[in-house]
Amino acid sequence: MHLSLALIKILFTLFALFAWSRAVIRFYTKDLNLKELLFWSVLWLLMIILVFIPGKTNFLAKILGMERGNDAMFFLGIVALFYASYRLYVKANEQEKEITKLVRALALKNVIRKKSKIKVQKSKLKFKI
Amino acid sequence: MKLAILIPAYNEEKTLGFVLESIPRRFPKISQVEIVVISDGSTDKTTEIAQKAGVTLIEHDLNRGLGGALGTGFEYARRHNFDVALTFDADGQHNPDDIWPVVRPIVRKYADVVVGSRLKNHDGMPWYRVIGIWGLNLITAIFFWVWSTDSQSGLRAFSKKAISKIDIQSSKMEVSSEFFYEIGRKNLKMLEVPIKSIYTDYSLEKGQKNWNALRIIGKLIYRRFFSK
Repeated sequence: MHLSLALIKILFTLFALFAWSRAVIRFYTKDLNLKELLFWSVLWLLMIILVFIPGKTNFLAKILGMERGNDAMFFLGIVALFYASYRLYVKANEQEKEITKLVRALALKNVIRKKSKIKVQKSKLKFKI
Repeated sequence: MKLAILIPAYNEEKTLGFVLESIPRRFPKISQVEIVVISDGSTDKTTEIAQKAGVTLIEHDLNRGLGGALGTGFEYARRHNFDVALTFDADGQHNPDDIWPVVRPIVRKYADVVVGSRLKNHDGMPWYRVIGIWGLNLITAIFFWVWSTDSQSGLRAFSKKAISKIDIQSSKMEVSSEFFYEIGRKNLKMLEVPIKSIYTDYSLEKGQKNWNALRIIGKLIYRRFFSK
């Protein structure tokens, strides 16, 4: 096996293990529930398996009408990233709206109200147009 | 009839006092005028100036942008049963003499929304602003199917029906175009009247920049196709 290819596999495995350990830590700090932990565990494990067993992704390539498994992985990766960024964009926007609603509710509780008494008062200031 | 003059203000200490002083307090057929300053998380003396001027003050704890402030103003107008709401910029670019021409069609029940258009007569407006506003007019028309000669105008009047029907969701500058989305889909009758803008270095500095259009387009796509 070519050395650089082996190196990238090791690096990828280390990264996957690191990412998985973060998920485990977040499970213990109760930031993730069991379902989410299982999802991330299966995902990262699958990634490691796919990296180490050659030809495993070829069936995906066939389904997608591509020649190589690697191409199929790239394609799916890009689609997944697009979806993830779309989800983040929607979430960020909806949260912006929620913050605005909160700020509005607070502001409307503390209105300093002054009704203008009607009196004739012409503007003394002249505008330059 | 009750009129609310909604003035969104973010750090406008230089112009707000002058603007508040210059707004007339009496109009034909209007029994009560309430000037409402919505200080949008201002960190300068904006709130103090509004308090001293004796106008209603609503204070946002955080800066939410023009849309956030106008949404708060509309909610206030709804809760207190106003018959007419007028939006007026705090940067001193509007001529107070234009208020009545914009409010009049609402009082006379000719329209639900009146837009004060700076482009019906754009003498004195810098050419790059004219191009920028026309660009946004086109974008507004493409997304929302409502044509306005000045989709970015800050001087607009709304009837009670419009106040109750318009649902502002945008937080920032894109709110100006969002109004037309609401006008279109809630079947509100719109009219435009020519107004004259006062361009100073200050109001130009505070106003929208052309490069901001890209951000507005992104937000409008979101509002049109993805927003709940």
